[in-house]
Amino acid sequence: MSTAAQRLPFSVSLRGQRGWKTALIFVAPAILLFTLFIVLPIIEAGGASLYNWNGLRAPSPDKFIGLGNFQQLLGNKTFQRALGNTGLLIAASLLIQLPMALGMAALLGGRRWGSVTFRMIFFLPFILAEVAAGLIFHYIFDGDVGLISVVGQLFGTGPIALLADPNLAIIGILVAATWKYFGFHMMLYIAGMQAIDKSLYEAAEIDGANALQRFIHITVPGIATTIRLSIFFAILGCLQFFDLVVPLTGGGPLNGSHTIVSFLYYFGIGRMRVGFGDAVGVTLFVFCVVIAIAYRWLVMRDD
Amino acid sequence: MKNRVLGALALVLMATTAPSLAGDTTVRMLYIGDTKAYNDILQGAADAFSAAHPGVKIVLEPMENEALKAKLPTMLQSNTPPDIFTSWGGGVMLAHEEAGYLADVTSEQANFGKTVVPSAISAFQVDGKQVGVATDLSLVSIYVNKPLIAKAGVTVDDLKTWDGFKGAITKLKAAGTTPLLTSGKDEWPVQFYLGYLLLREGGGGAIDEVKKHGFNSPAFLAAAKELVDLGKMQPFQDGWLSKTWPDSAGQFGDGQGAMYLMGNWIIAQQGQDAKDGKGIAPADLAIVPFPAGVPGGKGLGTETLGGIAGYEISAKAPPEATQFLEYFASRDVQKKIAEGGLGIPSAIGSAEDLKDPMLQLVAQQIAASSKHQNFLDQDLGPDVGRVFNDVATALAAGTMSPEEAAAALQEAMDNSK
Repeated sequence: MSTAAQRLPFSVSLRGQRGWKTALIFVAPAILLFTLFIVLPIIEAGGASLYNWNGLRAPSPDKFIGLGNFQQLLGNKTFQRALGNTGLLIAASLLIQLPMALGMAALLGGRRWGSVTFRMIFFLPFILAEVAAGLIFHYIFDGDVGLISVVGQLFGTGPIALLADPNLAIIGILVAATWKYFGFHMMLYIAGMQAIDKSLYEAAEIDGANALQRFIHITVPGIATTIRLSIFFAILGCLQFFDLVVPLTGGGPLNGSHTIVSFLYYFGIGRMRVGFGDAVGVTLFVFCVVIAIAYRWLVMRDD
Repeated sequence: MKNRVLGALALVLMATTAPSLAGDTTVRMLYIGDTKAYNDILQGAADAFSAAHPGVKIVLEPMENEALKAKLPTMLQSNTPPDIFTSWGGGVMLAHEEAGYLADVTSEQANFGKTVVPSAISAFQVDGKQVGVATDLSLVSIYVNKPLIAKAGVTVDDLKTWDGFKGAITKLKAAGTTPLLTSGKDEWPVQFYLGYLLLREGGGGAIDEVKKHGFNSPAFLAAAKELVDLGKMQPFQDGWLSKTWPDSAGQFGDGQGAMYLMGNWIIAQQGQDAKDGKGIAPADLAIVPFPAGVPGGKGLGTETLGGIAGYEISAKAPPEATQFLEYFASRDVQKKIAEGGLGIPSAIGSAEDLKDPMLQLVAQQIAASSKHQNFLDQDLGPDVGRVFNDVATALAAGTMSPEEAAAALQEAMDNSK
């Protein structure tokens, strides 16, 4: 035991009985809050997902439909589309956003002229409110006055209204999401890189390793833990993706650009089908838990 | 110590119950208050009512439209729901009544009858039980930019029949003018087409018929087919599926399209959202009823689609809440709303108080209506109503067949039972 702990009025050792009691006192408020605001709502949502419930008054027994909401969900084409879109988001995140963030981190990680300024510039979108970012891109993608359409027309294309096409609107969302969040991952990587021992780079340089070799053999292994963590954040973030969808497309046109959570909001809460929305929530919860546990067990076991 | 606590509790109890012991009553009213002029009129009415009824205090709680819709369900479940709150009637009101949130003010029907038109009373009944009253009427019509149609050789008279309307679309397209504006992102502006076509195909009883016997009815399928055919003409502006209602209102005000099927609130909105802040001058704007003579239709052509909005009264409200609502709905108060061009009141005689010639015309058309149908996305309830918006947009975009639309609506209707 450390000397600092010995100076405390009581022992924080968990070995003795007294230690347990002390720990309980410290943990109790957290457990209480966790139960009240996380565990109970999950249980309630699970219960409500078995009812055809509009969210007003407690559901009456005759509204009990068992797994009816889940059955409807499986057959719902918009939900299938939302699942596909969420999958696309994850793919874009892993294949475009994170590699881009890693590349940028490699460029801006060192102490070069302007690197701090550029780090700030790329990080700014992450600080911007989602709704504001969504509105900005709503105008950028507008077919009449939007930047892309206007520039395109200079090169002889017709008006380009990306968000007006049910099949392409999701691409607009992917672009906005990549722009918004890659700076966050870049910052994580830069922080990771700064913890790498500089002498490794010096030794590699003396041995004649070029910049690419140093990046592949020192930087990437050095921040592997951070990369695994950022993949974890990215996947969970995509599963819960919502805020940008509302101002950009509202899930449209023709319900073509919903994510799981925007589907939950518009089809559950917006249509006063809270039981059905709870079924979406429960499904999403299961996804998240399974992915989180599997990922931590398979990928992050040693971290 | 114990006594001191008890004493303190007694003091608190006395302090909180004192107003009611003295006979004071508070009436809380939750409403859409995004216009200062409207808020001022309501505050004036509240002050006048309190002055005439000593001990009654009216507390006004203005909110933005979407915020009110989002917050209301939670407030209704609390111990202190608002006593009077904004409503568009229809399916949402029905859900409130089924949950037991609404007062029974059937005994006040005669009093309401003295101040407002009969449709304003019947719109706020559930199975004969009076639960509130409508104070504001609105009408969906075709708003026409007269100089633009004149350039394409189209007259307002051409728009009176469905064939003439479609002919006008062809002429406008040939002249390089966007014939129709709408908002496919918000979807509700598109459902006006399906709603009106349903009224023209099936007549004034079409909606009740569909509610009773389902959406797989000849009238609905015919209406849906007409909308698909209209969509095939590609009459809407480029990128209409991504436009919000304010986007498209601004486009109309800027003269980027010739016609807009919309409620009378577009008169003010098109000016407000136009680039120059003025929009189309009143002299250049025509209001045309939705075309009659849809092929094979049973409708008279005089059925109208619009809003019948007002206020519901909470089951926990004191009797003074109903009295205040009666006063607010009366011509005395509504005169100011009419004169200010803030809406078309349901109060008897209010049509004479309207100063804006366009609103006068709208009021005349509502008065001449053989059946004033409430917005279908409200009337059909929160779930079926949204599906109605979805299918209307999909039909117009050509991504759904009439049969698929009927099936989607029927499924939603069966689920909501």
